[in-house]
Amino acid sequence: MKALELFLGILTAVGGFVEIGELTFALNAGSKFDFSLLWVVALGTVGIIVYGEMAGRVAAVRKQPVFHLIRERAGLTAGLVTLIAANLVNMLTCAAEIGGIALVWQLVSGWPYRPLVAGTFVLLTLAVWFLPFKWIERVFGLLGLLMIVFVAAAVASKPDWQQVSGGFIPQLPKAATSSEMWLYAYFSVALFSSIVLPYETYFYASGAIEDRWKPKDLNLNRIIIIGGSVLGSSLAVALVILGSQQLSGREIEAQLPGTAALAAGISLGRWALIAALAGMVFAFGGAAVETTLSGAYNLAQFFGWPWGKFRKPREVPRFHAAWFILLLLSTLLILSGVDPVSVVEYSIVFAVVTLPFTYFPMLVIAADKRVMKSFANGWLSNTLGWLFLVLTTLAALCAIPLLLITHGGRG
Amino acid sequence: MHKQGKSWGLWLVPAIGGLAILSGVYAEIMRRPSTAQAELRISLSELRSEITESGLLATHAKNGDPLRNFVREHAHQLEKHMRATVDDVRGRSVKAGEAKAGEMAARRGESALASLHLLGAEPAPSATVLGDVASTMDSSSQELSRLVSTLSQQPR
Repeated sequence: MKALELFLGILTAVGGFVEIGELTFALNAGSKFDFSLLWVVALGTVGIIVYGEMAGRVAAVRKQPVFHLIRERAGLTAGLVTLIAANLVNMLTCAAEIGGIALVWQLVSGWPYRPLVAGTFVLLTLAVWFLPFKWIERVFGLLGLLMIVFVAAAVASKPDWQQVSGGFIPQLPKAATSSEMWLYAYFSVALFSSIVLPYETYFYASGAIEDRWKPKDLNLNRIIIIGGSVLGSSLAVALVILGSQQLSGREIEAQLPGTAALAAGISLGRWALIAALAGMVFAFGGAAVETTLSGAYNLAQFFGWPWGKFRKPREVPRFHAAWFILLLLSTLLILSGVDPVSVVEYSIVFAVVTLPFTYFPMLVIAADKRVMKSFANGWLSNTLGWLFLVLTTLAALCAIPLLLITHGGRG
Repeated sequence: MHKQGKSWGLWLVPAIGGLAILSGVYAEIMRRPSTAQAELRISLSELRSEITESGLLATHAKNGDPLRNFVREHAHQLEKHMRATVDDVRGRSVKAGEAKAGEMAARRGESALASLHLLGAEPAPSATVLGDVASTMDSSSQELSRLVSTLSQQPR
């Protein structure tokens, strides 16, 4: 039974690492800078492991999810600002995922886009309403694993592995102009942000409480977060490699999910194309469920409402109304005609601004020996926690200027 | 530690938020004066990217074994993006004082759009047509590459 708990980590990681934003950012990072941004993927993976482990540990020991901590430690006003910002980012990301699913569905069915958006809304509503939390983890986590086809496609594209491994060493692009340097900085911040997206920790900690974790599950927590994150980062690395191998020489910039499927199809043929399309539907679906439930968790935990997917709607009506309204608003936003990929690119950049506000209260409580007793952070968690807090704060300060200087990452 | 959390809430949240917004405003004010030309170059690069991807799709449809629905619908999705980019190129080239170059690029874009339409048409185009589409895309993409590099070399 405990092995099945791994699906929480897989869903969190697949929904966090390879949602539509990460997919396009990773492909374009490879297309524009070959392997030289792989170190950012590695750095972001360590960051999400450090903070995901803390979030899971605090949830298992104290039964306190992230937004409870934010309200308790940062106070009402700062907490409320963080709540609004986090839920705006959740809504934008969820909207992009819904649009992404409709685009992929259109590639297979040929049906018109808007009815497919409405159909996606109905299917996601039914999934969240009827499936128990464990089955949400298993369905989206397991079927999202079809994305592994991108790893196979990356290997089949025969990259120079020495150059690939060289990409994990922090570096600047060689002989770059100043505008290329700005673009490199923008992609570094955006790729880092897309890996350590805050909703992953909200969802993971709330999921640990939904799954009724106890202090004896802390080793499982470590295995899940490390295993899930390494899996997710392998997919991100594969997308960077595919971007470099299939798109870089042709100077193609990925703007659609179909570009990623085409890259996989060129490397491995028809079945890889089909697996990539199906994998994207479930990975984007997982991310949509993750963001919509995160939004409801955040609201309920901040205002002290009872919450939980394991409770019946009549017991927790405000929690169930919250995720439904968030899903509906996200659908209406995407039905207004905005481009899903542009929406998610902006949401990722704005997400990085909310990161320090999410991570600091978590670090403070995870390190507090009076509260966590023998489960408090050790020296390694504290050192890495502070290091990543400084990095996310720097990224938060740079994100919006870089977005403007690089015309939204276009050049 | 609890006090540390409160001081974070009281001071650091507005400080980081304020600094992020102020630095954004500063970056916006200090943006390079030749924004119109830079934006034209970006639109031209996007058009080239869309044309190149369409050529790749045509080549894959000819040589590979893709799903017919995928080829048709991806062509339609690319067509929608390309149409918007061609309009963008026309608008931005006038603003940048490069109307002639913009019109030439837009004509290349229109020709690529016509080929892309063939790629998405039913019944499925023959291998010969797919080959023609791929070579039209290839020559348009090369033409746009030359145009982008000419614009990049011009003094600002």
